[in-house]
Amino acid sequence: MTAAAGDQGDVLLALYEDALAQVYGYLHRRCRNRAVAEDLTTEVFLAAVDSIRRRAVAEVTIAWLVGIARHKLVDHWRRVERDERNLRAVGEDAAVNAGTAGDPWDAQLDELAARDVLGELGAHHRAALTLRYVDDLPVDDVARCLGRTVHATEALLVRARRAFRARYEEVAP
Amino acid sequence: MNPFEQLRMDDTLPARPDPAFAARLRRTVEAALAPDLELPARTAHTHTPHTGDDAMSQTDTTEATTTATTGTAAPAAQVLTPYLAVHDATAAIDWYADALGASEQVRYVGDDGRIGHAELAVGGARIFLSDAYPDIGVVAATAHEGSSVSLHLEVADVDALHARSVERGATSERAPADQAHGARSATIIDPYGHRWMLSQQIASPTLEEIDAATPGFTVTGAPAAAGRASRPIQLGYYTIHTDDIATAAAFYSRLFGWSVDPESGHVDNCDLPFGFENQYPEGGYHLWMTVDDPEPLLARLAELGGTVVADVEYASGRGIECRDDQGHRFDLHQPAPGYE
Repeated sequence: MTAAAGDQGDVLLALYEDALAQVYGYLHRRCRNRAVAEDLTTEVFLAAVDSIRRRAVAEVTIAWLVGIARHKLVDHWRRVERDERNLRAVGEDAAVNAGTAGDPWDAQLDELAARDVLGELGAHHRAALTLRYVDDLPVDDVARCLGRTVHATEALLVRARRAFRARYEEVAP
Repeated sequence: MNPFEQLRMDDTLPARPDPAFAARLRRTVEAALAPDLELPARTAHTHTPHTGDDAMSQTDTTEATTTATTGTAAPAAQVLTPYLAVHDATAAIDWYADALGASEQVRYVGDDGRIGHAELAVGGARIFLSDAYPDIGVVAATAHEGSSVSLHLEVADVDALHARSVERGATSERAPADQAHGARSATIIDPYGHRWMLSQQIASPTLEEIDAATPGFTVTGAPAAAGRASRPIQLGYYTIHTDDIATAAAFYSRLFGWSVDPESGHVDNCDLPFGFENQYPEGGYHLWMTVDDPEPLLARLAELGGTVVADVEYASGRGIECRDDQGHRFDLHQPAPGYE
């Protein structure tokens, strides 16, 4: 390993405790599953080491690690979505479209119920809403993360919002 | 307010991952960051003699390894594995990762907190390790005076590894030095009492050369094991006789699609290395055995009743035409640089 890579490795180890709390926290709050969060956290740090060894990173920071975490989370949801695709009820999108779509929605969300609903959505909807609203990313950035066009992402967000609202109104207190 | 905006999450809250997970991941990251422990291209099996400054005798029987191996790679299959008992296995695993670039593969932690079994990959090799269990006779190396078994590890840069180990708290028992048996080697005692012999192959002397360079010891071994010759001599090339190489090239390129160099006769698009020659009036096919150093082999040939018929320097190297003890021909080829 080069001296520069060795130095960045030392930076990573010096940041480790704080970085772990942030990366794991970011992932755990979004996937709400300890085993998945631990697996993804491990992937994040190994990807970071790989980038450091390839001297592909300008500066090792917690923000950079959280950025990797976001991509790992998207990859995770993409895998889940592939698995779900065959299982997903064909009726889901139909039900969404038949719902209250289009009406202005004004509600004070119950946080726990909202998080539960988010967790129940299909992975593609969950990914889009998480990046757009939980992470508060602009649509352009959501599109980049998901590897979709902005137009396709906007359409996906519309469907995801409908799915969320339909489910939320079923379960909300 | 758009209800979706209420989903925004406060990421400044610290999270508390499971401490065992945190510790495990830190070790994984450290191992992944450890410098590659490049192995040298594997040379012939070497006999290390008893010498004054090299107190241990080691007959190296490790598996042949020809590729560089990273610290994180899984070790090659190995039938004999050193199993180390140490007084603090958790710390020891960290130390081996830090100083020697080892990576942890498996760990069994007992309810009493002791590590009952762990597996590490170091270089291309595997070691097992556990805490001491004195009640069943498994005692740490530090419980003894000295260590009666040494771990002989072939490395790419013995000086660098020796320096790093000592910096990390190992005791240098012998600084890196060139040895008559062809290795530059050093010996350390790690903080857990185990002796490591770090060895970097720098030459491939014959047993005779080793013997001559090792006063006070008589070095013998199986003749075939001399120097690099412990691997059987291999067929390196064969030739097909022709009167005119250009004519043969035209014929065989059309018949078989062979690409024949009209100057040397070498066929460069086939799996087996061969070519045409127009040197030998008796014709036929000739088999060329590749040898690095023909002299010991020629002496042995004479002992066995064989003969040398011709000894010629070609552009491609030295060619020695021989007869076996029944009078049949074979040839030796000592490749010139670029013709190996």
